[in-house]
Amino acid sequence: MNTADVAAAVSRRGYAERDDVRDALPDRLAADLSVRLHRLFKRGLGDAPAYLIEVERAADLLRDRALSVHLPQTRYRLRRDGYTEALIVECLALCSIGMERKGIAKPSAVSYAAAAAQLRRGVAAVADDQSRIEALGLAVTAAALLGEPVHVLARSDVRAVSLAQLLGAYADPMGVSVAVVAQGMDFRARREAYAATVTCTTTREIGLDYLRDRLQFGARQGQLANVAARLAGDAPVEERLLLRGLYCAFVDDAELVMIDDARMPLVIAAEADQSRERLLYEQAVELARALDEERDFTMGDGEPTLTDDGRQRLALLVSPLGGIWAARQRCEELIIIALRALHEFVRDRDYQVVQGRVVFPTPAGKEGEDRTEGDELLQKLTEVKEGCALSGRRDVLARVSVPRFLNRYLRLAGVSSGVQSVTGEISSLYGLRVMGENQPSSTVPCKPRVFVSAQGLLDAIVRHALDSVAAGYAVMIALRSQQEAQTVMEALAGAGIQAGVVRGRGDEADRNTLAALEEPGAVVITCHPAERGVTRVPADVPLHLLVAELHDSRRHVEMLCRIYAASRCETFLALDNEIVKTLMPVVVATWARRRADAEGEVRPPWSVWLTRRIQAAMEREQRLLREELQSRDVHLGDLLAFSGRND
Amino acid sequence: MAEQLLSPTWYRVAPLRPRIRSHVRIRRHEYRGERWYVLEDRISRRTHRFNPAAYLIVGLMDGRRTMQEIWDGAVERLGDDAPTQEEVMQILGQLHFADVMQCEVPSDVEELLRRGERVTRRSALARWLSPLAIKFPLFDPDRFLQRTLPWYRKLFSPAGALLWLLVVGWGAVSAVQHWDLLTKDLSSRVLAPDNLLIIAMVFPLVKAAHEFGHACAVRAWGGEVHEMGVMLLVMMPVPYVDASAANAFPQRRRRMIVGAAGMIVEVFIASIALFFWLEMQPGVARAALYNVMLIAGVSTLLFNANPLLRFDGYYIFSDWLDIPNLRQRAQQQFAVAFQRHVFGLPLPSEEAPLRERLWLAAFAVASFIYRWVITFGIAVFVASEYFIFGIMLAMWSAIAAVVMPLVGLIAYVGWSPRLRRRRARAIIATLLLVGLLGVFVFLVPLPSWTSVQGVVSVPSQTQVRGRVDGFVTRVLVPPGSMVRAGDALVETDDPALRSRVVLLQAQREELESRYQKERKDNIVRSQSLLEQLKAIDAELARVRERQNELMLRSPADGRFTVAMPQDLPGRFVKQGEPVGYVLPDAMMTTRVVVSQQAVDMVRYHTDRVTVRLAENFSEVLLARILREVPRASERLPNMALAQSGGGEVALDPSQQSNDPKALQSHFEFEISITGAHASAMGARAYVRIEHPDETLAVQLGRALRQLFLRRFTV
Repeated sequence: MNTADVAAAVSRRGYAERDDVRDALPDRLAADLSVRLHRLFKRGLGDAPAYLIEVERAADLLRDRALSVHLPQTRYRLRRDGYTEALIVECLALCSIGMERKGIAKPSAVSYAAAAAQLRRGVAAVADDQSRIEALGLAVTAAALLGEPVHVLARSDVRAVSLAQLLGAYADPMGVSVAVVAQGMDFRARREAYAATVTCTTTREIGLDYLRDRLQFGARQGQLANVAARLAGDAPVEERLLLRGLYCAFVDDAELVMIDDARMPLVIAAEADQSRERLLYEQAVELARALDEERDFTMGDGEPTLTDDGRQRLALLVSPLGGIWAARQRCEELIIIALRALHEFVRDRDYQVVQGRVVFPTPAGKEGEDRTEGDELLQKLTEVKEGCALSGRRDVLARVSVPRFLNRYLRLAGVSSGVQSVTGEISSLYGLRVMGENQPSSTVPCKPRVFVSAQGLLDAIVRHALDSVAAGYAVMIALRSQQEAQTVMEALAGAGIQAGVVRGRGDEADRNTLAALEEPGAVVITCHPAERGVTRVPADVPLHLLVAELHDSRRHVEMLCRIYAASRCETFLALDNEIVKTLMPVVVATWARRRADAEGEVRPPWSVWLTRRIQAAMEREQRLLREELQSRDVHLGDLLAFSGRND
Repeated sequence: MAEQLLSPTWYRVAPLRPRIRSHVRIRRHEYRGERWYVLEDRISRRTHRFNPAAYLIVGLMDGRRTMQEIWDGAVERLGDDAPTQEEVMQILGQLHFADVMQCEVPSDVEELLRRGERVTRRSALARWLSPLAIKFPLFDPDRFLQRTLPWYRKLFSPAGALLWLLVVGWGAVSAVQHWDLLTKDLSSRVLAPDNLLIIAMVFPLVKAAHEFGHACAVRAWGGEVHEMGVMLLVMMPVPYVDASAANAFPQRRRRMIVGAAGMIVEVFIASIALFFWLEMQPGVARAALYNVMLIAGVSTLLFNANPLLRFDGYYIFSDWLDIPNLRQRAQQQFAVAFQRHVFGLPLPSEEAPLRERLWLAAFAVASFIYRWVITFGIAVFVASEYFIFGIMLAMWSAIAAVVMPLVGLIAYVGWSPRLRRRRARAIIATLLLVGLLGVFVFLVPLPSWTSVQGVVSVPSQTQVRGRVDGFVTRVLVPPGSMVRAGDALVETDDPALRSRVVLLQAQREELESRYQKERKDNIVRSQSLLEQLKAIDAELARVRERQNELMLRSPADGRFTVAMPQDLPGRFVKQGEPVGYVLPDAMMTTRVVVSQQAVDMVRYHTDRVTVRLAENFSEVLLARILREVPRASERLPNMALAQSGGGEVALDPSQQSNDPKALQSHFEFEISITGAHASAMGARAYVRIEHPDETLAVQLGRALRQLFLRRFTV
């Protein structure tokens, strides 16, 4: 998008962001073909050394004068022509000169090539961590020369802070300011941070800030509406906004942020008034208590079912109440959930009451998903049963999916360690090409193990942990859910092993826990993806990585191996795991059980085949969910077009 | 658990205060005992149906209530039947797409533009895909209809109906009475070149009256008609009118009458034309009236009344069934059932009652088959009339009817997001179905046969004929008896022969006595008398021989058959005249005519021949081909094989009636029938000549090749 288009986008609604343009079918087909051809013929970053020579030649021509002389001219040409090849080279050359004058070590040739790839609106895949940072630094600084705000999106606050420090080395020589936005900052601090040229933050934080700005606009958006509001005496809307617009974004860990986090929408919600609802739930609980077990309802398989007598009695009881109790079917459903809350769910077994709040554990793999209406009702009825305050029913005020939000940037690029397995998805979701090196696969092969039952799996984990500890290894057990982590911890404790737990906050506690892995015999459990900033240098103590739950993608497992420098890796799956059962046909599961040995482990090579198949099905499932989310966004956009421009 | 009541995107619509635009009218209708609300957009002339629950939502939208308030009210009032928030958003979306809803916030302009482009593209594509039915809207007749309303409004009343019944009733009765006159030489009358010109002039006028009938019916009951024009239907200009405002009429009877109004007008005109035609002298005017009757009476009932195509009959049928959008819903039901059962998509099952679903299913199948047949027929007709251009036009419409749906199916199965999780199954199922169809068409041999007709006859050598002139005196053998060759059957007598014998005998005696007398005295004279004696003897022998031939004998073994034996005694039988038959049961034959297209198969690829006689259709008799008449001929062995005689062969109308010839030359085959009773003589025989089984592809390919040869000589 050139400057004229940017100006048009800004003038239309006073806020720089890209329209939700839907290309016509021929354009989509052409773009798809272009990406496929690119993947076939031009996957790499090109001739990096030759590119570096070109940059150095350009730098030679610019070295004679001060940067303050060159920068305005460069900025002018960037605004006029956009990031042409020649201007990209010139920007990188200027960055190079700036670093040189500050005595900063020159980046590698790969870094320059990767930076250029990002400036051409692509995702650069660079294996080496240092080169990746250099590439990001060069690209961000070159983008900042345009004078428009640049956002650097990281996966976590810790990473955002770390990036801000690292990128400062590249930005300072060019006079580019760098700031950080993290969780907990107030309005003023955020606004000041966004006023900087480069702002490092997480997708979540900036996405929510974007939604807050949208709420300020309301349903009417545009310069005319702003002028009208000002004439009416309202404070100018610009003073109520956090961001200056969505001009340019560089995404760190592109495959994690753009793909793995794409399923979780960004939501702003407000506490709703629940006084009427409380009355309804209290009535439901009282009605459920008034019913007799055996006469009015039965508990079969732990779930209550109303008898005919029960239905009649219920109809009699609700007849004077009116309102929503008049809806017979919904009334019965509500009473059944109330009966479940009273008779099926037991405190401290199925839920806990913590500081006056009822807490149900989140099922594995469902983190971040919207709860079903049934789960919400169960929560509320249990709260009424325990006499707790109702947990907030949060009315959604604004909502946007990550792909939709990122696509609103006028310019989007990213950097990653290896995205080859999701290249197609990145191009279909974001229209970005992926260029770069293939991340070398983990030097440690992951041995797959498949067990018939979850108990067999647990026993095997304990056994392997004990064996590894005895052999002088440090052991890391990678899981996905807190519930599983709890189960494994208890099993290890039963075998005399005290395991540390990584909470995923990246704080001092997590670092200390991970530091324990330097000692032989240490056992650590983690439920979170590895953080880039928290790496383990290969040490004398070898690490045995036990991946005890099915992960969303094989590359997550490979990343764990790389970051924690594992010497051995094994993956464990159980055929009776709920998620595995949904991904595998019954016929295959039955056949696999017959291939199990006396200890309930499926023998190789069937275990290898099964693991690959289940992992591929999981990746496919995740991809389908993302595609469905995107389709739903498009469909809702059209369906609700009457409500104004959509989120 | 019931469908989820709440929606995570409800926040987008909850604070909105929408209202229905002022140009929209809402009326209550009843369809199959259920109440519906029809929303009529008077600008776009589209109608939309809502059930009572949806109408509650729509009806509460007054621009002051928020959607949250409306939904809360609906939940309280409707209970279990209350629409979920997702359903409410769907309703709002539909109202928005129909441009009948207005909100206090401006809509997304991008979406409006996209939708506008999509509608424009679809209209253009629809026009390109229907080259044989292109519409040209010409003018808005509403003002004219409004001004003339007092003139025709009263026609749509019981009095008008009575008048119509009287006139049309009289017309129907008269048509029956004068049927012979009306149908005499029909094809020659209609297809004569000068008559075709009259038809071309009369046709648009009659059809214009037809369309005005629809328009007047709509206007008479308060609807509006804003589009009238000309449609090129198979290259023929035909007027059309947009009477879709009738969809908003609550009364089913009125909707049906609007649909039938065109045919009602035409039949009325046909009756009037018949009255004048009967009174007038032959001439151009009378010929024109005849064509008016043909067009307005016959063609409109044959074509317009057909419910399987989207003409008047379809709309009448749809209203009669109380199933609006019959074709669209039938196709949708079929598509949903197919996707659910074959592709395994978890689509909600149809909520309509069983009877309605059966109607939809039957209509989907019947209209699909009929549409293909008609499309193919039109394509052939157009191509045969205007070859190159017609071939192009035919291919174009075939592409629209066949190729485009196929491409759509491939695109859906291959790329539709709906099939994301079941694409493998969808592709396999589709390929399997296509494979099965292919196997059925290309590999499964199906029976192949040629059906012809003949009249049962007997070989000439089995006839009992009179050998000399005589009067039948006695039937010696009862008819129906089995006789052997040479048995005496019928005694005839010629008194003249008897007298002749007596006379000759007397002459002989005289000559004999004279000879005896003259033999001693006059040798010369006696020789002369001897010669005369010999002549008399010869004459006597001849007469005696003829006397012997008065006894009719059986020419062969078989059953002696006489038509009306009780009339035989006393009947004069000329020499050579057949009196009866001796029918050997195994020797019944029939002569059949085989068309040029089928003669090759009959000649070289006959497996078996079977015959059913008209008098005993349930019995199948075996037969075989005895011989073939070597040359093609246009003459028929029996006039009963012509269409006028109840057969299938069309006669050439240009030929004289005393020398009828078939329209196309054909080949004759004589077929002997085994096991036919002698009494079947003269009966119509339905002959089935069975060929070796062939696949459908081969049979269709042959038919197509013959069609091209016959119609296009390529």
